[in-house]
Amino acid sequence: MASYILRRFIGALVVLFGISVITFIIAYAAPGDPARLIVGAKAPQTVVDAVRHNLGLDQPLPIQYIHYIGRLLHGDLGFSYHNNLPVAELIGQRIGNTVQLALASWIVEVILGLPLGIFGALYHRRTADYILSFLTLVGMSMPVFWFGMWLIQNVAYGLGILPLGGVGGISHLILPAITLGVTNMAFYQRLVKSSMVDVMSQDYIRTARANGVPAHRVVTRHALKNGLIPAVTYAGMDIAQLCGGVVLTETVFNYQGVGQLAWQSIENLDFPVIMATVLIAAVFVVVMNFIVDIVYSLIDPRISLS
Amino acid sequence: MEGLWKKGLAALSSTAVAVALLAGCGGGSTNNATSNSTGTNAGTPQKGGTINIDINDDVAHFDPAVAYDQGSWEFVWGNIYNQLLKYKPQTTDLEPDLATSMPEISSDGLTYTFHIKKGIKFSNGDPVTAQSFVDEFKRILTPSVQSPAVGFIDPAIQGADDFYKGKTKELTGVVAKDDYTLVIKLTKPQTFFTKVLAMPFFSPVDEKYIQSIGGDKAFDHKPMGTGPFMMQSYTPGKGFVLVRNPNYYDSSKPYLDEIDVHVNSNQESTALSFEQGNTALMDDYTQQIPAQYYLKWSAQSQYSSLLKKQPYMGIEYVGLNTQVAPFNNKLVRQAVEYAINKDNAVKLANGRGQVTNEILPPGIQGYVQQLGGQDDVNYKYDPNKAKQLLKESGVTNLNVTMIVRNRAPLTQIAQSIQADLNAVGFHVTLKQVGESDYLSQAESGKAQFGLYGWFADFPDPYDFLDVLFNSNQAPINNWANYKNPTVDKELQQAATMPDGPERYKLYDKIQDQILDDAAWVPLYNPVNTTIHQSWVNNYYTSPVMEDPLADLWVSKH
Repeated sequence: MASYILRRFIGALVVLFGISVITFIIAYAAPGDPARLIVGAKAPQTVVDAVRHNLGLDQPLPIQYIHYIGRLLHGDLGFSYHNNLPVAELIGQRIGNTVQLALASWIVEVILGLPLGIFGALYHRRTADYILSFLTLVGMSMPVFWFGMWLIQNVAYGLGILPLGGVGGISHLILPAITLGVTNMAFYQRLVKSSMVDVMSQDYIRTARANGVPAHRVVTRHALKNGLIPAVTYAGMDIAQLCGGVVLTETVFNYQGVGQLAWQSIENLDFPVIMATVLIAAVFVVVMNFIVDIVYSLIDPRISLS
Repeated sequence: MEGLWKKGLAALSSTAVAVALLAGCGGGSTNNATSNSTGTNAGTPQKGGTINIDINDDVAHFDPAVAYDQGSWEFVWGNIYNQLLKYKPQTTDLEPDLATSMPEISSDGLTYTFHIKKGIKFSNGDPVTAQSFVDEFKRILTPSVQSPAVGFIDPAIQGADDFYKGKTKELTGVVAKDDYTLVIKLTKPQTFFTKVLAMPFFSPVDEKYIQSIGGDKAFDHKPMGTGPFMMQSYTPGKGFVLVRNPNYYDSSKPYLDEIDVHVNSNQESTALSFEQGNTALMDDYTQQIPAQYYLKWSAQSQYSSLLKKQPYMGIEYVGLNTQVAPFNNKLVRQAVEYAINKDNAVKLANGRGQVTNEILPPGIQGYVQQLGGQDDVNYKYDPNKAKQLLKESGVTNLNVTMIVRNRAPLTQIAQSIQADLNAVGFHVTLKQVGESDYLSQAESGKAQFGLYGWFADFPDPYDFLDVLFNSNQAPINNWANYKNPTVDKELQQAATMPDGPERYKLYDKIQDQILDDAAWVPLYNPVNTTIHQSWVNNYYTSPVMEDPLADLWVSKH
């Protein structure tokens, strides 16, 4: 177990290093002069040159990267080009909001997805299953910005019961969480349904039924545990993605999270912030992958970590 | 403008009650305005109240030496900071602000002497002296501050260049003669120099305060000045709170106790919040009115009377590089003037613009309301004339590449121009570029032509005609690479001659010459569309200044 964790840890570092190199190259190979963006279109060239020099942007790319990594290892993510604030501070203020929204959305996804998945498996290939499949397909296909805006217009504004956007307590979480929950729950519904259909046709379920175990106990006690394994795998990646920041939903709901920050920094070509948001998302994915692997071994003893 | 304003007020009274019922009451609990059942803008201004404003993105800079964009100037200029001189509301005329009077200017036009009002304090209570202004000039000329304003005073002010290059620690051209006398010496006369000084860069700052909070970078987020408002709190990405500055020299202002500014990345949700009666106002400086709401509100009587349009001192234009084929041929350039249908451009901009056939924008003296005077050059859309001119020119290679920024509506406008030009015989390729790439391409002097834009820093023809057409500005600002020795000489003369009708006549002559040479195809002057709540009183738009936050007052709603 210890050697496994160590190997995975080293692997994770290599992945993060690779991601940092790629984002760095993409950010700096993009056309445009960050120094010019900082001081604005009308600043004289002397000022632009001075800024470029101060930021070290006049040095060769590999040197710039070494400086960047050096600062990163000291926990220094640099300063935002757009408003001169430390990037770590900008991220720090938002990461909590994003994690809150991620968990709230995930809960909605699971609350909707799991029961509907079980329902689909029990009514497999019957009318109710087809109707449900169609409805989840609709949910999956809805663009989040459209559904989010629809909720803002009709629920927040129309009924006047919830805030139009922003952060600050559970009332601000409800609509964005529903937006993400409804559009993403279909994945859980489908995964759980198909694996439950598999499990329900296995011998041990038939034996349990034959022994007179009531139908609901067959499902909850015997089938569900095995039926959930694919959903757990997906949940790991799903939470990681949600924590990395949901750009569109956060932007539509003016939810001050990392996703909105990513969007704003792209709009402003604010490279230090763009790179930080990408790195944060990558860290979540790597860490969650790691956790999922360990959870696997706990749920299913047949899976070995060695 | 005045007439329109009054008409708007009359229409308000009938709808105010309905809006008030809808209102979620954006005003804070401190709103102590007396009941005003008619809800009109008429009446005595009341002190008190809080308004909510949304902005689309974090304010980039609160340091007046660094701030150089609309979003930052909205709050920095005249609100957290003020300057020696300011613009009279709704005009382009200067009047004293922190100065006791307009400056004494020496007969050679080189020395400006300002007397500063006594008893002015920063919002923290520190006194303002002439040195507070000197400090700001020095900050602008300190490379580590990264001020974009260097070009306005270096080399215009004596000793500025030496100070910027670190050759001296004393700025010889800006001197505090005593606590209340500031003397500025120029290297050459500049008629428009008072307008330069009215820009927010040249606000007095409290050097002691800046050092106490940790220097220039911290000052960018913890502003402290002499303006009617001061910052109470700031949360990056979320917004900030401005409150009344108790030390503001004009004790009658501001009327509002507080302005709560919220960053909102969703324009439509701000529009809904406006309909709920929460957001006090919307415009380009804060949160732009989304196109569909602009159309909706224009058609609804309770909103249409609250919508205002203010043309910018700016222009979108097609710049033709006069040094590069085929646009080095005057007939080809004139053909382009006739070939483009400018009405389409304004339509594509959702009507937020007004077609123009001249270089100077409205608001700047020299702008002609109705072209058509005897010597006015005035091109009109005439594709047949364009074809004829192209034929006359004898130029056969009409493959051209046009630069345009990749954002709406500019890309769409460029496509419309492309179609217009192709229709008369050009073969246009569009090259879409990002914002900063656009600058480097245009400044290279090699681009054939492009859809460009320019906004004036201050209301003087110099800031258009000299900056954009003087050969010594090519190709950095003079993207048309326009070089005309006669025009250069006249520009030099106009920049230094005494202000008055003669000067504007000269600029008019220059403009006609440039239009005759067809270096530009002026397209349209962008228009700022604004809306404010009926209970927000005394709202007006100005050609130069942004929203008059210190003049606003709220009636009970």
